[in-house]
Amino acid sequence: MKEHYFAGILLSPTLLIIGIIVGYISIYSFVLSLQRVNLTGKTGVEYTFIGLKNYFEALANPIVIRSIKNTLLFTCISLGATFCFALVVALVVNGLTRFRGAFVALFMIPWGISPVASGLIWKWIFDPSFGVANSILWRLGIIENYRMWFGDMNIAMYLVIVVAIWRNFPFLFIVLFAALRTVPDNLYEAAVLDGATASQRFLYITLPYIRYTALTGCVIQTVWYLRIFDLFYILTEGGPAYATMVLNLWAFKQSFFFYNIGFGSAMAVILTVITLLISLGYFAIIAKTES
Amino acid sequence: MKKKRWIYYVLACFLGFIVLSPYIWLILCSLRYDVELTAIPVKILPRNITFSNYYRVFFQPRWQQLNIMNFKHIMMNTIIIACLSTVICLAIGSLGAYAYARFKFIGKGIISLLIILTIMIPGVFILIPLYVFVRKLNMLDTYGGIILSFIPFTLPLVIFILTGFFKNLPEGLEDAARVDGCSRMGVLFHIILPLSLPGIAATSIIIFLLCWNEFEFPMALSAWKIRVLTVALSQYETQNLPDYGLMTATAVLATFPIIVLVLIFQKLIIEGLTQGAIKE
Repeated sequence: MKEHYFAGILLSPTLLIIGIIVGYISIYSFVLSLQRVNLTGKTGVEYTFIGLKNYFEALANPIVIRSIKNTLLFTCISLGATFCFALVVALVVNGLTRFRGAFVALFMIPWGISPVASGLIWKWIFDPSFGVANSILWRLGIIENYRMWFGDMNIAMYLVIVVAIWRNFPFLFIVLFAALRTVPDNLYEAAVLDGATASQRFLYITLPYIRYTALTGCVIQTVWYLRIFDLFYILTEGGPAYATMVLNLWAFKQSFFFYNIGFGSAMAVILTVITLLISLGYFAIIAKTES
Repeated sequence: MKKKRWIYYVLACFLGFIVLSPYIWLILCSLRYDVELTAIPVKILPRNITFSNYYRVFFQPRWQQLNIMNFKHIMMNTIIIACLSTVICLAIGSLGAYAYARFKFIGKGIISLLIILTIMIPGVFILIPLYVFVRKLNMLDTYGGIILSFIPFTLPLVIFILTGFFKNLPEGLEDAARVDGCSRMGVLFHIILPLSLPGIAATSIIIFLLCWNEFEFPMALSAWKIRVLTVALSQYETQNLPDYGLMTATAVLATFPIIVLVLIFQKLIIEGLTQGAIKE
């Protein structure tokens, strides 16, 4: 049997499925976005072709514009903060000589907790009347009255970001920690002999060494943040007054709560285009660092 | 250098406390009576410890529980769906990943592009057409429909992670076995798969975790009959005055098995997650 026939046989189920996803489903998603879909029409599901109208409507819709801005804002801040926190944790754990495995395990725990459960935990902590956050902050005299944390337009987004960092940092932590382990020790020893300070060693040895891995981890995390859904659904449902509405959540609500499947698809396509553009940017940067 | 080690331990403990405290708080809350849960101001440590919330999760009359659904039933749904999706994805994906890692063939570049694209695509982009499709097949609210919906986002990941493991196997294994008269399929099943068992285990656990924690797809594709834990949990949030005792106990029960799994298979998960990203 020729090698590529055998490879073809092994790959065929995968290709079939990926082909269906990328080929059929993606095209169908685009087709849906050009239509008005009525799921409960008289003759079953009714489709009306309306061209690019869904896109024009979406881009003229203040809520959609708001959710695009929110998605980008959320992704930028969360990614930066998650990266920094994960890096700090990775550096600290890497500095340990004993119990390292135990601490790695400990820091991985939030990653095992589903976003829905994480949302419930934090919502309970920040509950307006029975939450521990209000209670502690009030006793310490930081706030004068109990607050509606997730009901406050100025705070809600930042609180969701805190929860997102808590739940998602383990991935980048693991990736960065593994990258730190690959930096050869003798480089540090040589740098110490040359009289380099700790910050110099970090900037000129550690950072260049982990750059590639860090970027790859960031691409994946960015893609995950752009499509965030569960946390916002549980914590704020996009409120108050759409202050925390993100694209994926709004597309989901439009499609499955209000059954505007065409409009929802148009938003899904917009989100996909944004995701692909940002990832392209990343790949360009990665290609540059490699050369 | 040596003298400053203790700072790292203090920092690690401090960070560990920050990271763990929300979960510990959840567990502490699940052990309280309702009176204490809704007391103002909140007491950090429970005065009377009780397991009544857990008892109620399992043995409360059906109509009072999680909107008419039995917790054991929901747990079983989650386990069945997560296990079946993992098995199906690995069965398909491991063959593909092996071919992808070991052989040269026409169109390899295009395939890798497709795989990366499918990883990048946001869930909702697949979900909406999938919903129409599953609806057409009359598979809304069935195991099949949900498992079908998991494959698009788990399969590319399986291939992404497993390819790394297969590439790490020593070159020339196949040739040696082929010289001894083993067929190509025989090489795969008797030599390659047993050798890459750790990789397969790592991938399975990661995929199982993702399926267990997935919310968006089951939320859209199931209504009442086949609910999974994440969907059931989310329904506490939409109630006006949820039963906080039940809520916290269910949240602990929904997350605890997974946390134990993460702790047991820590090393494998790390290996799997860093497989594609690390470059020496």
